[in-house]
Amino acid sequence: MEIKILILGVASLFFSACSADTLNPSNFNDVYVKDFHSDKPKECTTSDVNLSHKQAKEFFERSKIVDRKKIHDNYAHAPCYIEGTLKYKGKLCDWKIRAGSTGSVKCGDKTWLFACDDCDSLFTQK
Amino acid sequence: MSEINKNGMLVDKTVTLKRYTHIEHGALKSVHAIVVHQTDTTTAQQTFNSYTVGGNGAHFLIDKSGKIYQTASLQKRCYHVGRLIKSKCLTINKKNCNSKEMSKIMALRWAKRIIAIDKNERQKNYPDRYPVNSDSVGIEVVGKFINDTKYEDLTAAQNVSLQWLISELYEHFNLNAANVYRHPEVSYKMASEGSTAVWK
Repeated sequence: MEIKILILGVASLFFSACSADTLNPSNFNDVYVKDFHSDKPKECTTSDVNLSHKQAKEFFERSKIVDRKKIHDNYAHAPCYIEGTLKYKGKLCDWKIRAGSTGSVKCGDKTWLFACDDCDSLFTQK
Repeated sequence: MSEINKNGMLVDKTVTLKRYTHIEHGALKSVHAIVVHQTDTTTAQQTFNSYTVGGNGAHFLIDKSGKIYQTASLQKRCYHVGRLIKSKCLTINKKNCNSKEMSKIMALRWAKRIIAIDKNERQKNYPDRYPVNSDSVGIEVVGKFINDTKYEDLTAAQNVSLQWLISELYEHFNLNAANVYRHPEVSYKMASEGSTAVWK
């Protein structure tokens, strides 16, 4: 009986540790756009990634979380991005959204990468 | 001088043959160029693990020690360049840009622009455009993307091996240094990938 309780205890600790690592963007709050940056200001400008606070939140909700290899192998790396802050589980986190529909959220020392296949409408049309 | 056998494998004591057929995708009918990549892994084994599953990959891999592996046949196409190629006429051959067509393309939003550029470029033949999967050989060099900022530098041994391999491919496919590219030159990737690779 005691062994069973111990196993259950260890298992629940393990699963709670895992769930702490999974991110649920629908729980992002206070998503604010703070700045824009471009490595190639003539090629990639503010109008290429002109999302509002609300659209930035929607970007993360519509995106899937991916690893760096998936981004590298399947998505274009845009030289410009908007960046800002959000709150997640009481923590203040930094985020970026690139003109090529990829993004990232950094909470403390943990970073999640995002890619969106259904976000075209969020980016300003030209 | 190495030889290429009937299976498209480079036969030389310097090259360890470790072919992964899952990363081969149809015939590679011609080789006009070489594209140099970095793996974003710390070991060759991590890359081999992903090659076992399939998908993206390149023809050669150079380990940290400089050891060269051939991972796909030179007669087979690998997904190593990426879906969208950049415009060579915007970067190198500026005179070759059709200014009317290109000015229309350049007015598009970035994400749409890179698709339009790719469509425009693929109507050209190499060398008027950058290489694509179906006319190039890929060389992966083991190296991690570090601190969210840049790829690590190639080791001296990696650069020695890279130079040897590129020189052999020059001979086999009648190429020269003008036909060798770093991955981010050709498609939209992190600028530092392969930036410390050197060749003549």
